Amino acid sequence: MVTQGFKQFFIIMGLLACLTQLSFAAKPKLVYLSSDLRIPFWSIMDRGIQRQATALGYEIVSYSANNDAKSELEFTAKAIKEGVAGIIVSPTNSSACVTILKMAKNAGIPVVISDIGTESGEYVSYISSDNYEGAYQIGKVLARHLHTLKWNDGSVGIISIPQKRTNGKARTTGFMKAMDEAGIKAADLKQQVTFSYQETYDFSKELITNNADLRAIWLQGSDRYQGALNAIEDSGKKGQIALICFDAEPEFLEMIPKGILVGAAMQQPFLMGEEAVNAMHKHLKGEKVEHTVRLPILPVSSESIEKQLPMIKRNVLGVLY
Amino acid sequence: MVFGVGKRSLYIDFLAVIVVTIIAVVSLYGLYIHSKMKEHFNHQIQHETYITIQALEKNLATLLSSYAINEYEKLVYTEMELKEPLAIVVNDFNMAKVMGEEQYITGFIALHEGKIDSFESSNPIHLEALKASFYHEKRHLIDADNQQIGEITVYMSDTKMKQKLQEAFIDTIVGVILLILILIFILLLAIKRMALVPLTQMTCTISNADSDGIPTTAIPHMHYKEIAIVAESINAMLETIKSSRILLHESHEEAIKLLALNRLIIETIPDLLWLKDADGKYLLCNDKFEQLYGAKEQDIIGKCDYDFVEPALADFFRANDVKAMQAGHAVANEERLAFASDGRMGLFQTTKVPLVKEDGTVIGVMGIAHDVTEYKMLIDELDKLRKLYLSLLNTIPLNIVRFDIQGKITFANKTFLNLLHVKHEDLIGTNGYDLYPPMIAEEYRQKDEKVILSKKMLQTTHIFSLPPHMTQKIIEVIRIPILDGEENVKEIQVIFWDVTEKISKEQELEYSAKHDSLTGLPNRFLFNELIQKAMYRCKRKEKLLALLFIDLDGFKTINDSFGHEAGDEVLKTIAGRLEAIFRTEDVIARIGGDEFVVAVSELSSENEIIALIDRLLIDIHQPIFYQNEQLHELHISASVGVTFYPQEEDIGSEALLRQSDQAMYQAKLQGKNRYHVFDLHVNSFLKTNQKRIEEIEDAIKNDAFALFYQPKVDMKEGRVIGFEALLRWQHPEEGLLYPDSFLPLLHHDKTLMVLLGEWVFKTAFRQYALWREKGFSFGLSINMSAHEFKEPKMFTLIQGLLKEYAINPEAIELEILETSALEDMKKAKEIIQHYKALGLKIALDDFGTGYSTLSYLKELPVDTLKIDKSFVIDMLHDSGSFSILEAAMGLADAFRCDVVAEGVESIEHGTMLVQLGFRYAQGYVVAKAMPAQSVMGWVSHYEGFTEWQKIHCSMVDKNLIFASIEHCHWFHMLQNYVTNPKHNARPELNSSLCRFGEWMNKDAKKTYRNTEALSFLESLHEQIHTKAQAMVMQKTDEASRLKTLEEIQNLHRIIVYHIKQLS
Repeated sequence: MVTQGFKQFFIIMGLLACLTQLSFAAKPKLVYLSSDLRIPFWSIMDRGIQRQATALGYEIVSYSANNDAKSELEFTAKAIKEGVAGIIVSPTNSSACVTILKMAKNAGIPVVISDIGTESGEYVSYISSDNYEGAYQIGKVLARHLHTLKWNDGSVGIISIPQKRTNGKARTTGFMKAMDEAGIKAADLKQQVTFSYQETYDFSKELITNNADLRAIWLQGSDRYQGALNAIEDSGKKGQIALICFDAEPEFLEMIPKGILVGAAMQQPFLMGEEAVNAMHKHLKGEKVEHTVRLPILPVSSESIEKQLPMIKRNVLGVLY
Repeated sequence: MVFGVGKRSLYIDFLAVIVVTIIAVVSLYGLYIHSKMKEHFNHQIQHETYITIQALEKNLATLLSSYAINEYEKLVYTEMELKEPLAIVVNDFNMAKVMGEEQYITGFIALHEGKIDSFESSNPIHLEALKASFYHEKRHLIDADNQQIGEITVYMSDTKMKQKLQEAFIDTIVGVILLILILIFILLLAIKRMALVPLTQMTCTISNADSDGIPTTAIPHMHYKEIAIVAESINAMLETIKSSRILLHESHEEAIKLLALNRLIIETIPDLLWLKDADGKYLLCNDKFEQLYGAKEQDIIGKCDYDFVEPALADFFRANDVKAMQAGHAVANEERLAFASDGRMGLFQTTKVPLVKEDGTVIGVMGIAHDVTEYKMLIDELDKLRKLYLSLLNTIPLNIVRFDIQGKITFANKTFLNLLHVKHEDLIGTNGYDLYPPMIAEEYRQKDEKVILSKKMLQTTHIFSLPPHMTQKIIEVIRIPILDGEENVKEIQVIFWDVTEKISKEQELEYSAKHDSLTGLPNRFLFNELIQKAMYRCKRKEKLLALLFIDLDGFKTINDSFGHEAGDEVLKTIAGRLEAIFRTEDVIARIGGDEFVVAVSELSSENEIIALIDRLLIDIHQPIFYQNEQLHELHISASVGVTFYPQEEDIGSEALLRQSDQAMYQAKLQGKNRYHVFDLHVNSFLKTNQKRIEEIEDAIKNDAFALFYQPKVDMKEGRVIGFEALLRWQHPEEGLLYPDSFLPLLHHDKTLMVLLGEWVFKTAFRQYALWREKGFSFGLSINMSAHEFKEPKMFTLIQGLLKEYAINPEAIELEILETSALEDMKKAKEIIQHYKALGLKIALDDFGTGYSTLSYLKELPVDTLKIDKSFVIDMLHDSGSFSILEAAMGLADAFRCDVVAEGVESIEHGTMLVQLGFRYAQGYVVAKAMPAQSVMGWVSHYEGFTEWQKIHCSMVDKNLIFASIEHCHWFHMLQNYVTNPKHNARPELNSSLCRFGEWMNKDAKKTYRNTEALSFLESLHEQIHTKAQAMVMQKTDEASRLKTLEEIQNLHRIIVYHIKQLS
């Protein structure tokens, strides 16, 4: 009876184990290759991927290359060896992405690219932000602000990401369109190289010193905003020069309503991650997938922040509570 | 002739040799080039491989170590595109490790041209292609740590090399063929042009031969040496043959020509020419000779003279022929021949010359007969002429003698022979110069030589000492050179005649022309000559010359009282006394009625003359006794003007004489019977005037004067009545000058004044005629100076001008200056009457400034009085002037003259003149004098002044005008006194003592009943005097004085206004 019972127990356990194994074995595996999960943007995107992949019944593993090409290739080789169902990649750069796509193609694994993009190669879909439109919209926010203060005869300085990048060019072009429409002139454009605090501070100082009529600084990034704020304060221009950013930091949710920042154009990394998984899922199901998906960037200002707050929290900051 | 028939052409052989040789050479060369190219391509492939791998090696190692697979793949792909190798294969050890494989091979391969595929290590076609590659090179890729991290292999294909070689081969073949063809073509062309064509030309030329088989033309010049030598040799041969033929031909021609020339000479010769043999038979004759015998040459030849003429004549001819042949030389004779052709007779000089052979044998005779008929006649004619000429020379009363250039006399006419009392034969051949004493002979010889040298006729006057007694005569001599055929003087013919009597008559005439017939002293003409010599002498010897101008005082009285004979006696006596006082070398002359001049030369100082003059004055003053019916003791004195020479400035004899004349005039002015030395300082001032006078003379000549015209108007009717012509001088340096600045200089120069007057009248009349053509109908006034007025020439001129321009004389008014013209009332009246008789009007200019007496106005029949502008200008504030104007108006009324007021400068002046009864005016307010061309335009616009036209003279109260003027006068005096008290009289300051005050108290109160107006005027008058007194008495500063004066002036105006209101 006990034996029987044990037998039955083992059989049941065995079945359970098999079922479990079966159920585990049945979950297709997706790999997310991220350039650097230490960076909040990618980390938020990763959360979006994790959440949506889980929700759709995929096993999802994320690898962070920590901005190292060799690691990225090793993780790619690893994923290929593991025979994953699909790869979602945010490559270290668009050239490296070509090799990843080639390796995946040789192994017959579909790839969805989430942001950054590729120089060439075959992929299922490319999910990106509409940098041009986002920059245009945030430009309009700044123009309105300057008009309200009657500062529109002053000029605007730009601290940009490198302009050889596609997204850098799109951001500058969109923003300048808004400035031209408002009749506001651009003072100067400084391209970031090191993306450091000091660089941002120095560039801001130079813009203020060289342009007596400077009324605003547009920072095409988010994390070094403090460098710009400190430079304005140190130049004795606090309250006389506005700051506006691209992308988001959690503290922006407080700074924008307080008027420390005029506004920020916020990409939606969480949403991007979700959309990348959705695209892969559709492909695996054999559905038609859009080859390029451009997600909107949120133009956030003190007037709109309250209304946009739930969306910002979820899609921008990946906060689900 | 055709050469080379049936022979093969040189050209075919040349072609065969050239083609074979060129093909062989060029083919060998092509093979050599091909092998070289192959070698070159091999080397090039290796080099390109090396370059490619070298470039990749460096860059790939870095990219491999940074795992930038896509980057190195792009690099490799780019290299594939650029260098076009067969394949580039990379073995990436790092990726092999990442992938966990033995090797990770990537790369690209180009199997088909233009298409690059990714290299697949598992693809057998790819591997096969690599194996078959022509060349490959492998390199290890080393990282920074010197670790091998991969390999790269570059594979090169020879396909391209083969293709290139093939292309090159085809190119070479095509090139070679082309080259061969071109070379063959050029060589053949060259051979043809350089060798075959010249050879063909040569054969063609040679084949073109004449009937003798000798080529007619030379072979043309050949370019190439070798062919040219052949051609020239042939040509030389041909030339030699031709020269021989020509020489032969020429000798023949020469002989013919010589014969023709001989014949031509024989026929051309104007004489008769013939040849006979020793027997007298004709061998030859010319056409002139044919005429003699009336037969043709062919009919004469072979015959003798007996066949043509009488036997006697034929004998004569024959005898002469024989004579010549025997003599062995030419024999001449004259013979008269009758021509058988036309019966003409002629005298001929015949020369017969024997014809002698080389061995001395006489074979015949040549005859030439020359016609001398005309020559003989000419000789006879000349002989007759010579005789006629000789008879002429011998009968003419002139002395004619001819001698050769040595002086030998070759001819002398009878007159000359008679003069010398010699026979012709005794004189001919003798030396002409021997007839005279050596000195005279020498003089004649010089004159003859002059004629010989100049070859021209020479006429002179000599004293001729007549041999044998050497009686002196004055003769006129003409020497005529007689030239030979070579234009050299061969002889001199001298013709001379006695002029002694004629000369002495001329001398007498000259003496009387240069001397005063009464006194025998030199006259002005001779004096001028003599004084110039004296001046020159003094200047040269640095001595002084004193020129005395002596004018007798009271000579006219003696003449008038005692008659001209007495006057002549006085003059003769004075002349004698002068001659007694001065030295013979001094020049004494009588230059006018009672005017003598003496030039005393070679003085050491001016003082030397003074003593002489004192003596002169005394001597002249000595009584002169004159006897007619009774004896008269006449007394006369002299005024003497003295000047000296030389002076600081160069001076001529005329000017010196003028100086002494002026000095004499001063002596006269100083009281006569004295002398006055000319003052040079005074003279310099006069010189300035003189210069001005000369300028005026030039200005008249150069038409530098102009007439301006000032209008005269009727003030009441506002119309123009005429113009006055006014003289202006357009001076080249000083601009437009008014007459005041130059006319006074002419007051003493009557001639110039009259000359200028003539110019004025001519110009004015001419202008007036022009205006009249344009419808001008006003009068024209022309000024006339005192000189002009008295000058009868002017009368004639004006009379002529009136006729010339057919001008109505009444339109012309002569303006005569009251002061200057009327010195001699009687004369003036006479002249005026003359002018009036012509119909002209007469105006008295500047009336009021001269005598202005009632009597003279009564005497002189003038038509117009022109009131002097000084009165008109002052009339507004000078009651004196006003009164004169009033009086003038009265006079004009009385004598029924028109009155014209001059100097009307303002409307105010005109107003007062009209009130006084004046009608005509002239002055600036109307118009200034204007150039002739402006006159018509001005007239068409002139309308007059309404202020003048509306005045009614009958209503004018002259008393009130007078009162106004009095007050104006007082105010002006006050004004002047205040401005300059030192030089101006103080006006009466007491209101009841001033003239206006007196008028107020007496006349005004009687005349005007408006007591209210009078008392107001009185109070104003009182007020003005109070102010004036205060101003004059109190010493205030200038500013307040002027202010008070202004107040007084205002009061003055008010007073004048209220005076007018009294009427």
